[in-house]
This record gives sequence, C-alpha cells and structure tokens, in this order.
Amino acid sequence: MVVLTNLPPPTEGVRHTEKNTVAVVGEKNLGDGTLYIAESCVAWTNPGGEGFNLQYPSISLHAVSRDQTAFPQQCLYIMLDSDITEKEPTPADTGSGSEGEEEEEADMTEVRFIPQDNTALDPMFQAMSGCQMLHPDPEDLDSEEEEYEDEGCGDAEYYEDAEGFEHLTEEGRATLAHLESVIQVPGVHEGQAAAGDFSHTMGGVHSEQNGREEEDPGQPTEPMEVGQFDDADPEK
Amino acid sequence: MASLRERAISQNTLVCLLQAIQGHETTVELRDEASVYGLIVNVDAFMNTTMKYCTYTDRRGKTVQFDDFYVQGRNIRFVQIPDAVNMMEAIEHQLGSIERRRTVHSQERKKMMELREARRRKREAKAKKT
Repeated sequence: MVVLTNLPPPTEGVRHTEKNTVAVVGEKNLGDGTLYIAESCVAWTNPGGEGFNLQYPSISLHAVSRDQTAFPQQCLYIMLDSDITEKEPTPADTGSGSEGEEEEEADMTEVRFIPQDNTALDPMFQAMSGCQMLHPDPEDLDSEEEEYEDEGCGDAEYYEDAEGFEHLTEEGRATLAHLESVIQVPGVHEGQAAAGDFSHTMGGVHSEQNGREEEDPGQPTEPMEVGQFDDADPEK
Repeated sequence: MASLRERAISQNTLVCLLQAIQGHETTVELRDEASVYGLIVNVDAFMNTTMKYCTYTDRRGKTVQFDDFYVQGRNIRFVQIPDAVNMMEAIEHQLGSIERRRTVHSQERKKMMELREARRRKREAKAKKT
C-alpha cells in the first residue's frame, strides 16, 4: 500500500497540470485526482488533499501507453527504481528459504496516470521528459564533467585562498566538501578534513597547487570555476 | 538548445555515437534485463534516450507497446548499433555537425573570452599596485 500524505502540491516550476487523472500505483487504483508535473517532482493529489510525490532520479523510465492489450486505458506509464508499495512481509520473505521466489521479485514499482482527456498524454510526456533532463544522474556528476567545466564558467570569479570560502555557492561548498573527503592533502590530518574545517584545509589544497605548478611550469593557468579544484587531483 | 557543457560531453565521449543513430530503429537493453525496440528520437549528453513506436519486453519476456518512451541514461546497459551504421563514419559525421552548430555560437564565446581576459588583466593590475 502506498502511503498517501497531506503534502501540498508543488506551486513553483509546474510544467503541466492535469485534472481528472486517475492514479494507479502497482495494482492499486487510488481514484481520481490532479497530476502536477513540476521541475522538482511529479505529484498527484486526490480531492481530499492526500497524495504522493515522485522524485525524478527515482524514475527509471516513462512512456505513453496506448496498447490496450497491456492495460485497458491509455495512460502515462512510469517505472520507479524501487518498490514503494511496501507489501506486508510474509514469513517466507524473512526466512532464508524460497530463493527462487525472491529472485522473481522485481525491485520496482509501476505507476500509471490515466487522464480523462487522452490528448493530454503527449504534453504530459513532453513535460516529464523536459523535467527529467533537469535531473542528471547524481552519481555521474563528479566523474567526467569536471574536465569540461572550462566551457561554461565565463563569469565565475576565482579565489585561491581560504577567504574564497565565503564566496562559494552552496553547491560549491558541497563540491569542496566532497573533494576534501576524497583527496588526501599532504600535511593535513584526516581528522581535520573530516571535521569540515574548510578554511584550514583550503589552505592545504592551495599549497599543494603551488607545489604542482613548480613541478610543471607548462601547466596552463586558466581560471577555474569556484569550488572546482580539478587540477588539485594528483591523477591529472 | 543543448548547453555548452552538454555539447562538450557529446564531443568528448562516445555518447556522440549514440546521437549518430538518432533516426534509426534499434534495440536498447536496460539495466534490469528488459529491452526496448523502437525508433531512436533523441539521445542527450547524459544518454537519456527518447524513443517512439516501441516494443518493450520486460525481463520475464512480456511485451508492451509504447508510443513514446523515455529512459534515463543510467538505466541503459547496451544500445545495439544497427549493422547498417558504419561507426567511424557515424562518429565523424556527428562531430562535424556538432562543430557546425558550435561556430554559430563562436561569436558569443569570443565575447565571453574577451571579458574573462579583461577581468584577468584588471586583477593583475590590482595585484601590482599592492
């Protein structure tokens, strides 16, 4: 059973609102309500104000289904990457036996939104696709893309000492915290990095950069985006 | 409408090969062992893929038709490149078309670089004073 809560529907960045839309989660028909496709999430509420939110990163795929042999009504089909239906655990599940059955259990949930107005399906699909693009894979972000940061950082200011920390955006701070946790800075104890003493450890990062530049005078000194210490990575 | 960053990724990774098969019909295999056969409409820099006229086969072998289909890049395990596509030619052609689009923006970019250079000089001048 899906947990319905009294969350208010999103008000900002709503790309599509579809009234008279039936929600079906798994096998369970939740009845008629309003679907909101917003930039932050997909939300559905029934006339009583109860509903649920779906987060984009958890949406594996979405599609328009008009195949009435598969499902009797035309709908917007959404597959989630986890099981949110929270079935009652049966004694067989808790035991170590019945391995075959457990493997069959798919770790996903099917959600269907059935608008009364069939012609709304295409704009609903487009709105979903547009919003999904705003939420790239969080695991992928810090691996490859830093190499290309230079492309888009035309108006970023550049700080190279602890003072700059105040000017970091929240995202920049998060990135810095992440880098702090990944990079072993010589002369800085792990304890300090873990305790989040940014102003101190930033000095550490800075001094290491200087060290590298002495070794490699041919290194281009392009300004980099705030919080993106990609050339502090000893691998590069 | 792709951002600078997305274009940079397209240019520097093999996602450009997938973008080169836009307009072809092929099979995309997903991480949960499901697969989907259909027309590739769009592949963005994050490998998010939009398809049309799809037959979706779930991991138990049940098939469903989807008119429109969108799958997150991280859910894709394999994309079958159609035999008719010469991969090297497709990549080169795709890079060429990215480059052509890029020149449209080069004016803008030049302005941005000049601004950046001006700021750098200002900073240097300031540093000399102190």
